[in-house]
Amino acid sequence: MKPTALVVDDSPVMRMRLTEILSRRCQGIHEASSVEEALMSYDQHRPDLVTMDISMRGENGMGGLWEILQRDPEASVVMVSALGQRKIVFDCLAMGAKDFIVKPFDTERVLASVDRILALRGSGA
Amino acid sequence: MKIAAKLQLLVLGNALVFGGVAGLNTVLLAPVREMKAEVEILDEVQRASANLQIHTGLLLTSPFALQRAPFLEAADGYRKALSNLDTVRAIPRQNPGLEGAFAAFKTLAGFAVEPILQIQILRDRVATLSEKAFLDPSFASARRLRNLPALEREKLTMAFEALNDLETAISDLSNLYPALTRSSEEHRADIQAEIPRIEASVFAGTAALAVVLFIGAMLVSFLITRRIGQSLGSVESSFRQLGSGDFEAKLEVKGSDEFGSLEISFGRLVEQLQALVGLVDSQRRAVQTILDASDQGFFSFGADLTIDPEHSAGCITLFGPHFRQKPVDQLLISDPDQQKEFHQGVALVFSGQANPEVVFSFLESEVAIGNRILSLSWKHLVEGKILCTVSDLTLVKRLESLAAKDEAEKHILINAVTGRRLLPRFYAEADTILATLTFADASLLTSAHLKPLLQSLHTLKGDAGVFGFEMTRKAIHEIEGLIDEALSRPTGRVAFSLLAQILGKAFRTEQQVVSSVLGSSWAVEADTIPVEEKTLRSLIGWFSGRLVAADPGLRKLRSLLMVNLSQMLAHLPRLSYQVAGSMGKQILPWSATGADFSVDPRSWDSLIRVLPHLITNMVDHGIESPDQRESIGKDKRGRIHLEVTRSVTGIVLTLADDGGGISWTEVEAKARERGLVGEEEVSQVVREEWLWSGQLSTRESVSEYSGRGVGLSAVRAEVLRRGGTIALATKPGQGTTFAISLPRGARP
Repeated sequence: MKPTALVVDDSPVMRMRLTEILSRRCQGIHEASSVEEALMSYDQHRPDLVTMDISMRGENGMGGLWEILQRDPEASVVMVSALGQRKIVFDCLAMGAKDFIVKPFDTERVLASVDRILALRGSGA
Repeated sequence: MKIAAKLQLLVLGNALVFGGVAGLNTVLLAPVREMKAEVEILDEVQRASANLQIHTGLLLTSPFALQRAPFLEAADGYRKALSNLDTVRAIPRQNPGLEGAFAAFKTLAGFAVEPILQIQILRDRVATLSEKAFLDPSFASARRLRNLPALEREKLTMAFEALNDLETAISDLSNLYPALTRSSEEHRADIQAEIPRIEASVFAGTAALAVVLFIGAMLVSFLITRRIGQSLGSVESSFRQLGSGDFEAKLEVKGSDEFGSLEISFGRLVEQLQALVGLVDSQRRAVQTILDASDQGFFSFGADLTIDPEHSAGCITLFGPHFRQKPVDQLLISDPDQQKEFHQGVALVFSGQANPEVVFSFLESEVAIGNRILSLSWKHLVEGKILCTVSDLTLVKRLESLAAKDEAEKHILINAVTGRRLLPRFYAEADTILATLTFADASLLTSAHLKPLLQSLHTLKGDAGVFGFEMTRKAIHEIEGLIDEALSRPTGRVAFSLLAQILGKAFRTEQQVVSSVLGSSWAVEADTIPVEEKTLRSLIGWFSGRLVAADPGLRKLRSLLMVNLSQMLAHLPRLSYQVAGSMGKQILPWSATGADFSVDPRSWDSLIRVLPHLITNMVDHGIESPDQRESIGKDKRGRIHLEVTRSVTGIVLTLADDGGGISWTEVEAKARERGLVGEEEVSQVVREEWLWSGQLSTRESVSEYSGRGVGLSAVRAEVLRRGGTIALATKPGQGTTFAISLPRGARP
């Protein structure tokens, strides 16, 4: 069975683009436009993979990452951001984010990240 | 794995890497070979242009005494050398700056072609007149001239004019040479400077690649050495203990290598160990040699950020001999916050918490240390090490900025050559503004005075942009900002002398670029005042309402608007060469004859705009390929001729070619095929009408230039609009002639 995913981003365009890329590997991709929506969706679907935008309107994706890791320390969360946010990216990675992908999306790079994380999950690591 | 086996692998790996590097070099050095070929082509262009310059010079000193052949040969040689330039492809791939310079050079070199063609054409024209008349100085004297019949006098006048044109063309060409030579020499120097750099970077590139391949090998050898060193240490101390009679000594050996089972005699063991250590050391030295051979720096560091003792000699060059005394974050980064982030990032790598590639994409990729710009790349090695590869970008950056300067100068020069007519005006305006600023006082600060100044500054900024005077343009922009800022403050004071300095410095520098290459007289416009055509026309309009048409003053004014018809037709030959060239055909140099009289350009413009249709038609359909022409005994170069005849009834333009002519059988077959006509007989008038109306093409395919028949119908429409007629005459195998007759006083 194909893995499931949750795309968290406040921009509909970005969600669409990511969903389009992820659909090559995943099925049952849900979208959320805020941290609150994301947490509800996460509780409901328990997706194999979450992409979380770092800076969303009025809130910080880092908080979302923390909340999800509270619910499931093994959750695979990939942070999404524009370049130039090195400190936040490192903080997220230290907190437990599995990877980081940069906007604008490079399809190959995103898929490579997804493959790597799903492989880690599959091996039980 | 046994140590001996590991070492064998290592040796094998190295051999593979060396073989690979040799092959790689051959591939990577290919561009350098191409560049060397390019230098040869440039040399050839320069030789050809020098040769041409000599012959042009001779032509200038004695236009008629000289045999034409040497000049024509030199001109052909030059054009041939130019065409070779087109085969050059190496530079564009290597360096965008050089690509621009090369394009500029090619453009500049191309400028010489037109004067050459003109000289050839003018030579032909003059040659048709009596050369003897010119060679005999007394012949041209006023008395003899007056005694000549009118027709002869006219011919002579035309010849003198042709001679004048010839001299202008030659001096234009001579003016181009310094620029051409300089550009060529600079370009050549650029390339020659580039070759060693590319060779070096190819070497560094292969070295870097080799190193990447080597990283594994280096690391393995590094680790083995360390382990053997540790093992040896413990073995040695065991020996010592044994020697001192401590038989309780245990050999503490890590791993399951040979050391693990010490069942052989101590003597053999020592020998074996020494051999192994020797082998490992030589491996290490080999790796070190490779690392040191490249200019790049390689060093590794662990979680504590101290730099390992194994590093390439390049590090010493780049960072100084004591660089290991600092931890890596302090070595590379000066800002404490950035250092902290760097530390946080590498910690994520060492702890295995993050994908190293993600972290590395955030680590510094370029740093400035001392006066060097260094590029850094990062690689995660096993055993808790990060390898940093350092390359010196300083030279590359410096070359890039040099190339940019060069590019800017070439831009200025090309604009100064192509826009020569407008250059003096630009200079004059800049000088006026500079003088205004220099001698300005506080009274200028009233808005009544400042507004016109700002306006002319703005205009000058536009001009500077047109002429590629980038520094001047930026300086004006800055000045505008300063004035705006001063005005926004209540006690607005403008330091005009400062503004004059800013503008003066930029403008003089760029002016110097022009005068150093083209000479200071390039922008000198003797005794002329630029008047806009619009102004002149309204002036004429004003006078026309007050003076009779025949008034000499009014006629003089009108004549200012006139241009020589031959000038308006001058682009047609070039067009024919161009079209012919694109089809692999050749055309003898030609120019319109009989067009040496003044006309109002407005009234001729629309007609002249449709003539290219006839020309392209002739080249495409009329003129045969060189092979074909030779096979039927014609000159392989086609002949085109445009003659303008004036008479009391009007003007006739006759345009003729010596090509294959129009095949009426083919035309008819085509028309029947198109269903334009049935089986019945058709008259010649009908056949011609098919051609004029654009209903068919006698060619199988439509070419880039002609073939749709649209051109001919456009020409006819224009001629009819003017109340004229157009006729064509064709003889199979001998060519086609179009005759356009325009009634006198035809509507413009």
